[in-house]
Amino acid sequence: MEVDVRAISEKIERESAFVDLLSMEMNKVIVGQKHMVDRLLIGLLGNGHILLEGVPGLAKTLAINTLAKAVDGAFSRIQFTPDLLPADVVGTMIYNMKENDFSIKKGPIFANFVLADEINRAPAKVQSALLEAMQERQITIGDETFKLDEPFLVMATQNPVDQEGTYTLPEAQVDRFMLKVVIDYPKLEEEQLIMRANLTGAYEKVNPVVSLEQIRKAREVVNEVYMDEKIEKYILDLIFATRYPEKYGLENLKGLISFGASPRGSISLAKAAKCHAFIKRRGYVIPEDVRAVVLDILRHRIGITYEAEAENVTAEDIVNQIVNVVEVP
Amino acid sequence: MKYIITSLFLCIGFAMMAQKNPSISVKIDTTNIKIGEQVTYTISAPNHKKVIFPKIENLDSLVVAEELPVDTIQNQLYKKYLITGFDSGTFYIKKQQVFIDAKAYFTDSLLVNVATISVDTVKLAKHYAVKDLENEDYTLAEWWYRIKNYVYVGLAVIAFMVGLYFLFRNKKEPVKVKKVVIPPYIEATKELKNLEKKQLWQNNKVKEYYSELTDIVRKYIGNELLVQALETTTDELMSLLINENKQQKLGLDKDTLENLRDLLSQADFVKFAKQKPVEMEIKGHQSNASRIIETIHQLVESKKQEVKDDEQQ
Repeated sequence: MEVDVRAISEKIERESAFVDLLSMEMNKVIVGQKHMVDRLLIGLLGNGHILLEGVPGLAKTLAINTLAKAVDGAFSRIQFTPDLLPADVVGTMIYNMKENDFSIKKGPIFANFVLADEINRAPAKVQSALLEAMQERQITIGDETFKLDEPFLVMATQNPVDQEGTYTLPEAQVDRFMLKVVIDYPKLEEEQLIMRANLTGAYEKVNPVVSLEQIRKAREVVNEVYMDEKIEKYILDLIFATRYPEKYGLENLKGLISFGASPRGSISLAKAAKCHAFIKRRGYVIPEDVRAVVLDILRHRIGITYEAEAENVTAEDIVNQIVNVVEVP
Repeated sequence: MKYIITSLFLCIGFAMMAQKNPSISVKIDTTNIKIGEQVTYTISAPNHKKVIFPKIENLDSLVVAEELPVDTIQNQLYKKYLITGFDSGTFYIKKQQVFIDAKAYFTDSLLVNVATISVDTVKLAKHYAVKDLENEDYTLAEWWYRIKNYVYVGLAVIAFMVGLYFLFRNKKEPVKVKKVVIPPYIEATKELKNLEKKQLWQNNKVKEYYSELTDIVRKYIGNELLVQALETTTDELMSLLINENKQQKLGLDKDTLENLRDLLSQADFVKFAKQKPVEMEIKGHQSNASRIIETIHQLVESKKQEVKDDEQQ
């Protein structure tokens, strides 16, 4: 089938107008953290979930709250604690004395935007209840199965420090997050603005600027973004280099990688690259799009060995080395 | 009358007392045997309900070679023992006890004379000397058993010598194959000519043409300025080049940089967005690529010349 890239680009021009509006609305409250805001948009458009890692106080909760308000979607927050139960997340059946029957009480997961705060503080059964819902996009309570509303975006956070009493997410479950975004401290000037805004309470009110319908339409357009075979090959080269680094002249990485990215990694990378092209108002993907998202897509999908840990080599270092060696088409 | 009655009682009493005992007899084939010769010793008893023959053990220098099963001939039981002796002399076979219906009866005793054999040494056959031990040939397994230790030691010595040889041998210098290094400029010019010869865009292979064209330019920049050009995107390469231009003070003018950006961006359109440039554009990009390579080459050469001049001064 012949693809008309020009027509796709024109469509994107029309359908992506909300991106600037959304960014502007979010920037009313979120100072700096452009990377995080961009990745939230990619997750929103790519129908993927986001794992955020950053020290407390970096506006993780505020960002998703603002996004929910700006998109006019339902928002809920779940604070993960060691005593949390799966029913606290997905919901349960409660006995209604008046009607002498059981009725379903839906959990906080029934929202468009769910913030799973400090996901690694809850035990594995709660984590898997959430992650299963993320994957299946449906919940079964008792005999009834409920489809979750679209868009459904889970933003989970975890704290890189204070690891005592935490339950590390298993690799198989981390893989279900499309992106893992590591948030750093704001710049000096940005923090000055944050400080001033907090002292004066001068935050503007966030208004809904995008409808859920617009998001659903945009998602359809994202799927139409043209990806050339050369870009596909480039994505596959990057993924395969995580599995067989020696084939790409990276023999030094062989002992440092315990397992490479899964096929879900290549799917997510392709999807995120398309979303990035959409945000940049392009109807086709270029290598820059892949390069822009590759770190956030692959950092949680590569397992590092004890040897790598001993040498202080992180998954990010490995991805960077791969990106610097694999030839760009 | 009194006398008659008494006589009658006495007769009956004697008759009762004179009731006959069962007849136990012994028989031996001969009482004279030679050393080692066997003789049959037979005990016979009437065939009553329960007869137990003795187990003969106490024969002094005689021995029971075999005890045969009991035989019955006309209401008479016969128990046979094969007896022999290995010492010369006269030996006494004692009375043997036979039980008949739980009552013990004894046989007669017998004398057996065991005679030695006379050897006339004068008449013996001729004596021969004791033969020497015969030496037999060793089997393979015996040979191996005898020599295996020597073999092991020998192999260890050989291995040691080989090890020493490899350790201390004069390592020959590997023959150096002279790698012909083609200067990046000449290589790029040659590749551009080859690309033209392929006539890719003329044959509707515009995408392949632009891929090869940009690869030649990027490879040249990488090799000439020693930067990672093939592994970078258009934007990254441009930033890299601007940086190198500043750091190495190459003196690349804005036009050249703009031309390069234009060439790479247009190539990206063709490669990734299915854009099909017209013939004039293609030719323009082709001459652009040659001009960029030429410009960079001249700048690098003049830079080298400057360094050379500085060194000479």
